[in-house]
Amino acid sequence: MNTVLLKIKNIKKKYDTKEALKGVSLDIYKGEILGLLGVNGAGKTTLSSIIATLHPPTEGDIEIDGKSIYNDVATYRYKIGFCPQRPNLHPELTLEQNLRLSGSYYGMSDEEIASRLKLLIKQFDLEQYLHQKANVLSGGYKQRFMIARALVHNPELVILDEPTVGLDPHIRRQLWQQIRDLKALGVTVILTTHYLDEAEQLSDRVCVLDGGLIKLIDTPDKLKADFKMKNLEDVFIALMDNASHT
Amino acid sequence: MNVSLFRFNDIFWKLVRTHFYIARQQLMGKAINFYIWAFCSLVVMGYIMQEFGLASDYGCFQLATVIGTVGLFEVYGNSFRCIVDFEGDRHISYLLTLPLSPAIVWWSMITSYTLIGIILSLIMLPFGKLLLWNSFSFATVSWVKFVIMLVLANIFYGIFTIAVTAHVGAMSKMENVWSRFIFPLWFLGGFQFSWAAIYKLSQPLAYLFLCNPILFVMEGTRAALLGQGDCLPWGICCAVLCGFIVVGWVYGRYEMKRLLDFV
Repeated sequence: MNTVLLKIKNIKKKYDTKEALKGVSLDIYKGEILGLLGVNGAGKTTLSSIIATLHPPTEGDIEIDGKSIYNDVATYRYKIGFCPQRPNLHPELTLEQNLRLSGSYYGMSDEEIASRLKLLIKQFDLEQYLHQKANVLSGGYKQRFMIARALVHNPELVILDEPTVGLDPHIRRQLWQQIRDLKALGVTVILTTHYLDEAEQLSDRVCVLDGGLIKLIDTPDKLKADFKMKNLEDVFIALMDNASHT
Repeated sequence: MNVSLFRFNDIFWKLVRTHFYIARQQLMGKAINFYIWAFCSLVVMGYIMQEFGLASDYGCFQLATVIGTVGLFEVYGNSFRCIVDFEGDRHISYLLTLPLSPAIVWWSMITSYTLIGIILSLIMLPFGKLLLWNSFSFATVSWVKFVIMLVLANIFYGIFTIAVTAHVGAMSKMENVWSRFIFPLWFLGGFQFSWAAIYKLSQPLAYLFLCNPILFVMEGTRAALLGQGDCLPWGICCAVLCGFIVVGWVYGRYEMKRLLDFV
């Protein structure tokens, strides 16, 4: 887990007068699940959308294999899958069409798409809704489809932006298992969440963002030991309390 | 994987096919709407208004402008769907994270708007002939000029859609698309009059009207369908439209980047 997949170097993002990220630097290792934590407005979604190349940074760079991703964004995008906070499936197409088209946009042949879909449909239990349009789905199934679509082209890195927001507890647990399965397959996962139990259960390391800066990065166990707390939620609250007092 | 121009070309046509597949589902409804509009326009201008002294060939004049206008009227609906997507489904945002240049996403949309605009404009021609019958003769039509003008006009309308959408940017400002852009450009763009008529009235005003791209669509379509007559030269109409296409693209892309903040 020590091979660096992605090097994030001093990323800053400014929206008009607001500075959402004030210089974020971190390394993301191959095969890990990195949890991005923070209160609302901490910069989690901004950072994940910059890593997903949805938005450009105002300053800074992201490197993969020692080269800036911005030198060849298209090649980088073949390596990543992005599941945004809000589902963005095509509403006029069936879910199967959405998945197939997604594969074809990544240059996969029909045979490759078919075999990949077979696997993903089974993995995410999607069979029954395959021929329906996105608007008939419940939040949990929409989210599963979103993750499945992010995985169609077999990416090395998956960015999941708050994938379990608003889901029933049992659906959340199912998605957790699916995220663990991704790790077992060697996929690197960046998981943005504000559910601390989720981050504790799933993450190899957590990165706590506060006011557009990294407060700390470490393994959940190390953080609990350092702060002498029983769970990550207590660590997080202690951290935020410290931040508000300083 | 090989990120070649060939691959981009392949994805481009897949995107066009997808946009077209969606738009095709609404094609019949749109055709009926345009038939109703063309029927009202041609019957009133081609027959009824002649009782009030309009020239006997005004119906043909109107048919040419109806054909030139169809794509412009598509701008509102297409722009509306784009903004609904920006504020709701965000599928366009997804397309902007695919392994290709954003320009390919925009051009795939422009191409599908162009194709739909051409189809809807073309079906007005036989319908107009049916309504005007002896007043309109296919013998005056220069088919090559007509097809070129139709393609250029609808590419312009496609780019205009992107530019206007980016400029407006939000559903709350959607009514501006019609009131501030489409209606004035259309109404002052020679829908009911020729540029020569304005020139006779006031030369400075006529030169001012040359800033309106729709005028060149109307004049060019009339020149292709009804013969050159006193229309603006067809070649100049094409050249100016090409210029507006370039300007519209540069502005539209810039504004879209500002609005959506894509890489």
